Amino acid sequence: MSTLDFLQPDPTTLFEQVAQAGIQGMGGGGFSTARKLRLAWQAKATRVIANAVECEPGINVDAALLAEHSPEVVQGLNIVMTAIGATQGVLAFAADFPKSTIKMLCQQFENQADREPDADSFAANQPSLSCTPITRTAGAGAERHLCQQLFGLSLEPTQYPIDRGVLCLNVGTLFAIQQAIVLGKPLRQRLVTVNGDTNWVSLGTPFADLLTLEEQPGAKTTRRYREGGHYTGKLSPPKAVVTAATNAVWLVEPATQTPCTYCSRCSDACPEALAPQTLHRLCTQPQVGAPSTQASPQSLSESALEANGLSRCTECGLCNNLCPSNIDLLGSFQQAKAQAREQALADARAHRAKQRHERHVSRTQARAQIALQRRESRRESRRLKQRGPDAWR
Amino acid sequence: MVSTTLSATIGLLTLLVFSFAVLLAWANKRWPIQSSTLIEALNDALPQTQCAQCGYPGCRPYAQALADGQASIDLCPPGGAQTQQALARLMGVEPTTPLTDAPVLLAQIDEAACIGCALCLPACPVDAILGAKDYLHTVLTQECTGCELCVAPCPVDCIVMLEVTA
Amino acid sequence: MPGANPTDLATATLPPKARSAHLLWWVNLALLPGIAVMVFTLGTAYLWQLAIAGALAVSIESACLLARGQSVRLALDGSAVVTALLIGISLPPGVSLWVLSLAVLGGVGLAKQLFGGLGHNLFNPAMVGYALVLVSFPAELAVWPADAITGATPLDIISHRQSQTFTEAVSSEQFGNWGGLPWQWINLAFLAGGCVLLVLRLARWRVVAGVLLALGAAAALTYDAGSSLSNGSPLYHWFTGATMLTAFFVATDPVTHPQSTRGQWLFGALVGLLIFVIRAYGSYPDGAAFAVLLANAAAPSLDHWTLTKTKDEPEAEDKHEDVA
Repeated sequence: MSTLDFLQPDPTTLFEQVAQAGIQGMGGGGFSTARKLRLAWQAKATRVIANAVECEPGINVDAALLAEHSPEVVQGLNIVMTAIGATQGVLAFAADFPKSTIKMLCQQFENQADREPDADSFAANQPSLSCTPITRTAGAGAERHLCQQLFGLSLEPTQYPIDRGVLCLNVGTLFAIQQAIVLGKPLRQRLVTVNGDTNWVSLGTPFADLLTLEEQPGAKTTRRYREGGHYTGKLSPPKAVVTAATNAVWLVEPATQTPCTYCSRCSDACPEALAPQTLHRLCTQPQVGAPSTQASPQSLSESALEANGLSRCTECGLCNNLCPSNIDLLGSFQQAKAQAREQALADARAHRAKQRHERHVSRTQARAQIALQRRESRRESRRLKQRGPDAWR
Repeated sequence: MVSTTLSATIGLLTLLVFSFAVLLAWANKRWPIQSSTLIEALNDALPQTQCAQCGYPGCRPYAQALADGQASIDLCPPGGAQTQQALARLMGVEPTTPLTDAPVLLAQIDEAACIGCALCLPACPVDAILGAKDYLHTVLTQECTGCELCVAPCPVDCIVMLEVTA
Repeated sequence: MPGANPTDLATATLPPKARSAHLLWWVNLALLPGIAVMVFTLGTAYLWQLAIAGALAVSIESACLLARGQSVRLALDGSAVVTALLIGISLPPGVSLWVLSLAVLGGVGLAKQLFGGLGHNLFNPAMVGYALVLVSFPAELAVWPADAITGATPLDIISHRQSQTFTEAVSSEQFGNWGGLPWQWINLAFLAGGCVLLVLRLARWRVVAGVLLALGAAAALTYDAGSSLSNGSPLYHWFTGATMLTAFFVATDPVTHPQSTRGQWLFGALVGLLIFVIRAYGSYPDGAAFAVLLANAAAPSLDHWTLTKTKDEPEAEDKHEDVA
């Protein structure tokens, strides 16, 4: 089998193979890659971004992958581009990658660009491949930011990159695609930065087992882990395991929570311009003046939470990571949001029930009315019959 | 000097009290409390199960009775503590006997036992039972409010109430 | 697959995370320049007063935390000491020990712990304690006896002068040009410490600006070049009494001021305006404590009015730009 066979795949077969290999977005989103590819194919996407801009400092997954496997990644990029018919591929990597890696990447892409076009594989048009360093700033690795920075496309809030003909895939995903298509290997392991060290880890490994070597046996269950970056990562539930979207796992040092001093570090940093300290107070403190028998103070403060923009919280977790008092702000917001969702469902249900009941009542009343009229008219006709056939005159 | 100040103070305060009383009386006339909006608010606070456990034929009649001052606020078991507190706030009274949250129920028809008598169909206040005479009946779980009003009319006792857990 | 151990990879480090207790101790440190000048002008007895207040506050806080079943270590987070220092600075030097104790008890015990401890108080604890003894025992607090400042403070003189013009009243004593020489130095020292707070983002600059601008504007509007009815120039008001202490250290208590930016402007302006009104027309020579307490009471309303409205306005866009 030559490489070119993989570069000339039937798109639907390829998508099927990708789905069979269980490939999900490995940058952190975890979206089904087969679906994403199909969407891009249907939308006739012309540009593909291979995303190696790691979202946050401290995670080295993409850098480690490119250092070892950049040819495979580039092949994966070629496979995808050919399959969906894209003409431009850009590898976006973080500008602070090690010099050797960057040099190697540049060489690699020059080779790719210089390569002789093959009549069979690139029948329509020669795809162009390039690589661009991106400075790591907050949110730099996000698809939208990349579209803006690489192509100058500013997306509407409701648009996805695919709507503008751009398919953005993590390099890990491209590597997995290459492995699945060329070698027939399903996605079974991925690179994970565990407390700063990046290694291949099998999917499904419990977080607790990632760090066993450094720990006492008893401490396993009580430890907490953070999945993702330092800033935007989330505290994981105790039994969390490595998934395709897990790029980093950190052991969380147990920190004691102290009262909120309203220092406003959270509200200064909030990308949505919310006031987390105020939201947290509304989430956790019973409303002033609420009756002491109050079973759930939340129900009272819900409208206040809404007025303060709880639903606009994107759960990025910045506030949690900045809080000098170690308050789990995000946790309380997630809980409040879940409660609000439940309440909204219950309200919707009650509203429906009310409408249905009103219809039920009006229908039964109308039916009773009709029955009454019918009875009346029958009585009337009986009376007329008794008076004789000519009585109506 | 002192007496002048004193009488001036008393005069001023009396004037103030009087003028505010007039203002309040006028405002009361100008913006009367709409009883219909109160009924609406009370009705919205009720869980809309239409179960008639309060003794009124549905949530709206109960809201009406509450607004008229004929019913107490602790007659709604499906609403539980939360509804009771909402009613208490709207009516400006304290709950006398605090309610506990009732379990959420759902009716289910044992299809093997159902004889298709259609007696339960009109009993359902939200038309959540689908069926016709001599045809199998079934409960629309999306619409069922768990009011238990369909249980009594069934001649073969084929309707059971299931408790919904979370 | 081969293992990659990228030890040579660039690992950008995280900025060190702030801790609440450290931040609160920084507030204490920022008070030091002002305290130093006060001790220098008023005598070392002042130092004892502050030390006693601090010790009292920490022990009262510990007792309250113990009674509430909380960690006693919280008493050393610096907040009790800030309250104690502010009370100690506000009270005249050599004040009776029982007055001092009562003020600290009222501040830490009543205004803070009874309301639920740090972060839950509606009013500034230090100002509650100070106002408590100020209205209860005015005679004990009326004098600021010290060698450096004989008799009364400039604000006292201005308040109680009969037909003297403003300049006469102020320059007849050994006061300086603006607010009485020692008071200028004390205020300048608190201004310097306050700047540290602003740089460290421990105080919201909008509150400070609101207080100073409103006070200055009110003084400028009623200033008539120093007749016998004059209330003093803006400069005089800025550098006399407890202006700088209030603007930088008291009004900026983040627990008791609004959280919205517009609310903070309004809050600061309210404090500044009330200080001027009480100074110019009230029976107390300085009104900072009352001004702050009244504004504290208004803070939740200010938040309510402003926070819900600022959502979709340019404010939000500014912050987006900051991140990007």
